[in-house]
Amino acid sequence: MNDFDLLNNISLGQYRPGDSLLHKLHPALKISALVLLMVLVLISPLLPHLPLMFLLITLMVRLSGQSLFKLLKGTGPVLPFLLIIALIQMFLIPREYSTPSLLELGPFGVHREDLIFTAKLFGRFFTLFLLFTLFTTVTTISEISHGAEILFRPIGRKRALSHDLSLVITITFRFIPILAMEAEHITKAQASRGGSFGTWKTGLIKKIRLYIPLLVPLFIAALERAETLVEAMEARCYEPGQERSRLTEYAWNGRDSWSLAVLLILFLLFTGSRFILSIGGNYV
Amino acid sequence: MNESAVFSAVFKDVSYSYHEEDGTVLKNLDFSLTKGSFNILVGPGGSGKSTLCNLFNGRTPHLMGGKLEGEVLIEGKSTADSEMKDLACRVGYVFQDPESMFATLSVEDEIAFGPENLLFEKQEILDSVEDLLDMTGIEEYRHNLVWNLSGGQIQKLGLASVLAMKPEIIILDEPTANLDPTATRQVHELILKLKSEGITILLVTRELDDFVSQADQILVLHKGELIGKGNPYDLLLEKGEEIDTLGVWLPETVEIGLGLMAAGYSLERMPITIKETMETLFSLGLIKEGESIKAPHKVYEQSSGAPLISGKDIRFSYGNGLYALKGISLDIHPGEMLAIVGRNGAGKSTTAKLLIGLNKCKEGSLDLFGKPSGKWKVPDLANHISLVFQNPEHQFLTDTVSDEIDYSLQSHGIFDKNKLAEEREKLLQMLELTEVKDDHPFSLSAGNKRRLGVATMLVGDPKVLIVDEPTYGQDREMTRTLMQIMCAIQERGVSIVMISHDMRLVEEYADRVAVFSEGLKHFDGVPTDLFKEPEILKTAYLQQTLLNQMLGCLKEKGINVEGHIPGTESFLKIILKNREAA
Repeated sequence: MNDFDLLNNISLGQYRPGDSLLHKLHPALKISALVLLMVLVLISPLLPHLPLMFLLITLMVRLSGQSLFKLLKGTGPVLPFLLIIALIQMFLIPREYSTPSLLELGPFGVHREDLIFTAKLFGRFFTLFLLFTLFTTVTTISEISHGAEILFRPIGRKRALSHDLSLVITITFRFIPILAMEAEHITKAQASRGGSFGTWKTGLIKKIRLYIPLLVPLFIAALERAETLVEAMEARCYEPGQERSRLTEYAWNGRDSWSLAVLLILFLLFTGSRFILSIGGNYV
Repeated sequence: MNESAVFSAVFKDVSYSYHEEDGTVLKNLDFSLTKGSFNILVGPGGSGKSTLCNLFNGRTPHLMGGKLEGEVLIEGKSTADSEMKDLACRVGYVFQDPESMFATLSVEDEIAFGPENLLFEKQEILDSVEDLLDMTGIEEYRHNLVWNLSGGQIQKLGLASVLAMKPEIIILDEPTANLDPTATRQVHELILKLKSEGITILLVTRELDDFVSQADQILVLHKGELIGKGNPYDLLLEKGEEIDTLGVWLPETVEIGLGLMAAGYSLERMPITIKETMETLFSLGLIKEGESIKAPHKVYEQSSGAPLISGKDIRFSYGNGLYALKGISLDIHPGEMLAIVGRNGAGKSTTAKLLIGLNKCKEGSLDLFGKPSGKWKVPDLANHISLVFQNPEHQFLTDTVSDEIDYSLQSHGIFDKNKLAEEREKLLQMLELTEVKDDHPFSLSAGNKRRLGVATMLVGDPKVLIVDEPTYGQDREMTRTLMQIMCAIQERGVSIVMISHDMRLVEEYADRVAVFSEGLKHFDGVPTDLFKEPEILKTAYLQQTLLNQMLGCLKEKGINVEGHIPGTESFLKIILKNREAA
């Protein structure tokens, strides 16, 4: 992998075209499902809900025709950080312990609670990551912005607010490649001046320090681009707070209703078993 | 007579200053654009072109403030009394870099953005999107993301998204500044198509090519003043000399015409197309059938030593299964000026990145300065080979010119104070930057930015210097300046690699030229030989210079053309000498 082609290194938000049920769902439903499932993952106890959630999302991956391994590949770069966090959690964060420590290392001890907490941390991270990558894999960015607009509709006094909010989302996405490209130009320019980009054998702190000089030109570039964009949008009659029409509209289908029903039942089952039947214990 | 029936835009004695106390940016402009006409506004960088454009759509003075005198009438209505929204629908403005005006993500949505703001009906928007995609020829990319388009497609999409608002006037700001010749031609064709549909067009540019013959009116702007307006033929005949001194590229055909006038010939009409130029030359008796035009051959002496860089069968892929380079062999010898030419996406930049180590050569072999490329580290390699970037600002990191050079010196391992000062002085002097050494890099003039960009790259005495697109966003003077710096550096024994698609530069400066197309090398040799093989240029989507096209036509007419003619100046010298001899 080439360290300079930052665009290729962004694995989140990579839409892969397909023809599956998941691809064809109504965008507003996809976003709601994402939010609901995220909530479920966050409130799931370690056993038995979290593995079930993971299994469920794996099934959805199957349904979308994607490969589980490919979607999870993006976790690679974050794993070291995750390990550090796990170690800190296990050894340094004091908790209320009801059991004696399992392992003593000088002043530090590992308890059953620590292990459960760390397992939960990893479990939730991977489940959420998978969920989110799956979502971006089956949803185009314009679907996200259109879907958000539909969902925002009840919030705004008039429809215009939802237009603006969805445009905010669109432009946020629009700036990802812009920033990545600028960063790429700048790193290249500086590397060819003898900076040490591209040679990753330097330490972590040094690596971070290397990126600091990048930030100033990057921010200048981003602000300049934003200013031009405002000009361009005004030149094309965009006025914030005004109603707009829409080229693409999405129809609600039978399959959307079915999916929504399944989703709601799932949500009720999980929350019910969690909070009413108290399956899975009290560790949140 | 009703003015608004004839003119799309009328400027009546317009002056403008950004702040009351500052000097005027535009002075007493008086001109009009006839409905459905094609107008070209030309002027060097900083002449007030963008300020003028902003007057059309009311951004100035509605948003920018400042002091506007006189009156700007769009379709008969003064901009001062119109709402910006109304003006925006009447005047479409395609930015210099249309990519920066894209507010949505897909091509289709982008075209629909304007009509959506105007609350057009869904079906109406859909129809106009279809029409525009078809007209601009980007139908197959309708679902593409806007950042995955090539330079030409971006221009077309920019135009389409502005046309969707159904404007009466279109302003195009340097649409072909960084396009390869093929894409440029497509944009030109599109402009003519718009003209035939009755849209008033204002094309803003820093350079004129033979496309100027199609224009109805040329406006020449210099330091805020309109120093000439009129039909291209008359204007160039009358003011050609003056425009030339402004540092605007003129078509080579016009250069020939001007040269003839300077030599004492009187012309009735300025030749702009090749045909007209040949007619002029024949009618003046400067060229006769059966004659020959002989120039000294350019002899290229390759230095006898081993090449500095030697690549064999390099294949390179960015990891998506597509090969950007499909087996390129290239040698770079000491002290030569090599031009790598090809359209956008031909593999030129990929090659440059391989040479400076930003890309790693995995397939094929690449020896850099006697060591396989895999054994080099990027920072070490920077001592031997440097890349001067298109946008010098990307390379600036510090607050003063001196610090900027110090930074480079330090990253090359020079920390001793005396040594540092000595090296810095040397570079400042060489690139004539001593006077501005305490200025902020971003506050330098465009020319000095370029110089500083080169200065930072010369640290550590590189043996090879790569210049990426020296013409990018530059007017003629800037390009000349940069190329002269390069020539001076070449004389010190440094090899220069110039990456470009401008054949005029190649003709004028290069010792050797390599033509890239679709990841393959199609030609490697002396420029003169390349111009003898138009087929190669065609497959590489490049275009002969006008001069060479004309020489080709002359050959067809039975005139013997020999040797290397690097520019219109030497061409004129030869034919005028021929006359004297006869």
